[in-house]
Amino acid sequence: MPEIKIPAALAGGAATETVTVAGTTVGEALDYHADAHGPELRDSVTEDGELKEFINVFVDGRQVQSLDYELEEDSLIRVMPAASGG
Amino acid sequence: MIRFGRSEYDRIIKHAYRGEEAEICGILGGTHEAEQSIVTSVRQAENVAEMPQMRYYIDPEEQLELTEELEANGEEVVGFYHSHPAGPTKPSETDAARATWPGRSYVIVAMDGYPFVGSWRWQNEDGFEQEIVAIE
Repeated sequence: MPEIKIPAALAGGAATETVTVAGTTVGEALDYHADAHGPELRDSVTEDGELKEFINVFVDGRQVQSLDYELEEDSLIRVMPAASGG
Repeated sequence: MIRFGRSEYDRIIKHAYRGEEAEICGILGGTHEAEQSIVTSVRQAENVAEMPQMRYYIDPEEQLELTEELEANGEEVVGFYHSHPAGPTKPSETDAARATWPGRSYVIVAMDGYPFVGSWRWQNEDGFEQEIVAIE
C-alpha cells in the first residue's frame, strides 16, 4: 500500500506523520486520506481539483505536478509546503 | 520565541552578507514547539527565484533533500530564513502571500543598515505573528 508522509506543520501534530493510504493516483490517495482522517490535508494540498501552487508533492523523491500521477504499490508520497517569498 | 545557538545566528548573517544584492535563503533545523523553537542547524539553499534581488524560492527538490538530511539527523523543520538586502525589517506582502508552513518561523535578515534579525510565525488567516529572537 502507498504511504503519505506529512510534515508536522500540516499534520497538526508535533512530529512528521506517515500513514498508509489506498489508491492508484495521488488524487485518489488524498481522497482516501480525507475519508479516513478528515479533509484537512487534502484541502491544504488541492484547490479546484488541482495541486496548489505553493505546495510541493513528491512521489518516491520526484516532484509531481498532477493529481493524476500514478502510484506504485509501495510509493511514498511526501507533501511539503514550498519555501518562497520576497 | 526562537532560540539560536551563537554560531547558527552568525551563519545566517554571514550568508546574508555574502548574498550582496541578492536575497539568500535556507532551512532552519532543530526542535519546534508552539512556545519555543530551538535552532540547532542552518542549511543554506540556493535561491532559484527569477528575480533574486526581490524574491526567494528554494528549489523543491533541494528543499526535499535538505529536509530529509535534517530529519535523518533527528531534527525537524523549525522554519526558513531569507534576507532583505535593502529592507524592510519585517515580512513583505509577498512573504505573506506565499507563506505556507503553519506555526513555523520565517526569519528575516534585513541588511538595510547593520543587520537586523527578526522572526515571525505564520498563523494562517491571522497572518504573521512576530516572535522573540534569542541567542544561547
